[in-house]
Amino acid sequence: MSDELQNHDYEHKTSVRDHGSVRREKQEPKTGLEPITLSLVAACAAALMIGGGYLGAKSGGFDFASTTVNGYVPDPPDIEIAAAELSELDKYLAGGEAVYKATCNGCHQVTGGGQGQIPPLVDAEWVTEGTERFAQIILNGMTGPISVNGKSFGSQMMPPQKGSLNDKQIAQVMSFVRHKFGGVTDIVVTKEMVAAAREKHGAQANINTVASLAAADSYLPGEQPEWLNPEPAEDAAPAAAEPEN
Amino acid sequence: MPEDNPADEDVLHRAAIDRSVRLPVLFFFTSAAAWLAVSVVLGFIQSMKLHSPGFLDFPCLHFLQYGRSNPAFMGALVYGWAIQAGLGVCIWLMARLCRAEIKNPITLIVAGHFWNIGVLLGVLGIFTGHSTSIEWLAFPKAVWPILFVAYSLVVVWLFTLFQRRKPGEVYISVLYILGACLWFPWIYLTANVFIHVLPGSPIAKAATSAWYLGSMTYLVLAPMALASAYYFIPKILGRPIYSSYLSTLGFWGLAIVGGWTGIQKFMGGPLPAWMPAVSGAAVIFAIIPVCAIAVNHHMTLRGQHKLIESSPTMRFTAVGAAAFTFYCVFSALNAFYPLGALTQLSQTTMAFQLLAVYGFFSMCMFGAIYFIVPRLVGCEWVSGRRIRFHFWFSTYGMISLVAVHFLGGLWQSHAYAQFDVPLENAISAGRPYAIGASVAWVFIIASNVMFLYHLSLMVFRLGRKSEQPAMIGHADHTG
Ligand code: HEC
Repeated sequence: MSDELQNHDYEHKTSVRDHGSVRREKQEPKTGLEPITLSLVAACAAALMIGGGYLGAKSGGFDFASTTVNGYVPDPPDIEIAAAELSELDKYLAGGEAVYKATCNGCHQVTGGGQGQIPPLVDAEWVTEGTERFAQIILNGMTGPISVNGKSFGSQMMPPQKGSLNDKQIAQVMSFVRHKFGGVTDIVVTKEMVAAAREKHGAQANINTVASLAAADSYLPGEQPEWLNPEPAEDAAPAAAEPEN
Repeated sequence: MPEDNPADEDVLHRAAIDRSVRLPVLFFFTSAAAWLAVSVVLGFIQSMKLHSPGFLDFPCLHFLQYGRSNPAFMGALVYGWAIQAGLGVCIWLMARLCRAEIKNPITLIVAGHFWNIGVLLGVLGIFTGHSTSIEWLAFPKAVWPILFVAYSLVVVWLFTLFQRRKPGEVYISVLYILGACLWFPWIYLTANVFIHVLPGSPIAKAATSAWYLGSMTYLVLAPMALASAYYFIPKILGRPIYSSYLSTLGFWGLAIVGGWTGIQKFMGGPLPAWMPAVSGAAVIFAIIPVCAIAVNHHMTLRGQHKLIESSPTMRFTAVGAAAFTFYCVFSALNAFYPLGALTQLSQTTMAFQLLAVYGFFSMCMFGAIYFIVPRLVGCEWVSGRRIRFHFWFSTYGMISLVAVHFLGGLWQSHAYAQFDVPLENAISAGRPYAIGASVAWVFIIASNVMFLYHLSLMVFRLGRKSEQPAMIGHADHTG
């Protein structure tokens, strides 16, 4: 259409007159040969010096490891950030939490609420009462019918942990579970206590059933650690400290 | 009619050259202008969304949320408008300066179609949520090879044309065009490979992205715009460019430092300190070529500044060139800590990008388009009033946009640096400025709708059939 018409025009009437705008325009640009002025040279030199100084000051010696340059990072105003002071007990329980997360979490859940045929730990008498049978459950596992918080479980098995956890880890995880889920916050289980339990039950080959567990009032022997507040009683510490009921 | 004219033969030859490049150049110009219209509308929308997310908040328009409209706007502006307009201008300049009619416009048209398809896919991809969310590289990953191949086709074509040039001086614009030709594929490929294909550490990615922005500005947008300015200033004046030494210094200076720029944005960041330092030094060194170029243009113009008044091409080009100088000087100042810290992480980024893409690049392109199109379509721009409207609305819109974003950004960064007040304060500190930016966008939309309309009239041959060019002042020369 008009495209072709135009072309047609161009081809058949290539007289100068048809190219108004082209004819009007001045010649194609050329280049003059004026010299560079002194002031420009001076300006260039100044830019070079400033840039070079900049590079020297900020490049940190071209070291890949140096990432900060003086003056770049403004000093924060003095804000006192109180580093949270962890007590010995907190640290001990934190260790237990780590073991719990690594070992027990998958079955008993982060909340300790259990799931399906895996019984809860929260407020369970197996947690809050005698420490010997709790240690037994962890050391040698658990199977068969069991009643927890009034509900019956039994179709699943808890595997023994004695091969994978050492005395200290078991002691910490027991303390953690008792603190967090059992509400027993005034005493802990120590590694000496677990050592005693291992001494007594470590050789057992079978997985525990309710029948093979120690009695509900049987506590592992051993002292409470010194850092624990309040100071534990002198000799038969755990049994004495634990209210007997 | 001024008849300071060379021989008729020359005129016919130039007319024949113009005719031979008509299709591809008009193709690039019109699609670029269409993308420009899209991008300014998106620019307005993303600006509104920044301060009033409820704007246009209909379920069917959910894709206009800031997180999508902002990268879509930038993508459409840079790849849809800027590069395409630049290519159109480069093709025309190259043909004129090599004094060769072109033989094979089909390659260019095909490349142009691919490019447009790439940009379209990219923008749609962003709207459908597939953005990579990297500044200026936000198109979905699948798009960059399309753009890369399309651009490379044009590059090959331009080099072939350069090979076929008629004997004579290789004018400085040709150097800039060849530079932009080679640098874009290099920069684009490198950035995409290190960000999308073989991503290293996130820090290296961030550095690459900052480098891409700097290099795109200094090594692609600047050369294209300068090629045009170097051509049109002496062309319209009808006198030679002032000094070839300055031209050479300007070109090679930019070529040497351009590819090191960008990373100064991350000064004080977790990068090896030398990386921002090198980039900072590069933008400072860039002052040298920039001075050379500015002096060269200025001295060419000496005594004839009145022409800026009357010739549309001259007027746009002059503003563009001034914006370039301003941009570079400002970038250099920004490399210094106290200012840089205030402009690093706020709205000022937007100010800088708009100053580069709209302020200097687009203004030069508008100038070139006003000169080139009448020669391609054989009629004159319909009215000087419309050109003036485009000029003033663009200029004022751009200046206020840049100023507002810049000041807003300073204010915002200042608020960020207050450690003891809530972060929210910093965000609300920028708010009034963001609102101001939306107002400025209205100006830019108005000016570009006018431009698109005017250009369409020309493309559909509805321009004036006249011997007299459309002037915006009173003068008796060509524009
Ligand atoms: C493989 C899953 C599994 C893991 C791991 C596991 N248990 Fe058990 N646990 C069980 C099951 C199943 C029972 C119930 C066994 C039964 O039915 O006789 C149980 C029972 C118990 C009981 C007695 C019942 C109750 O809920 O009070 C305690 C206490 C206990 N587990 C503590 C632990 C501790 C502490 C750990 C981490 C060291 C642990 N369990 C790791 C599956 C697991």
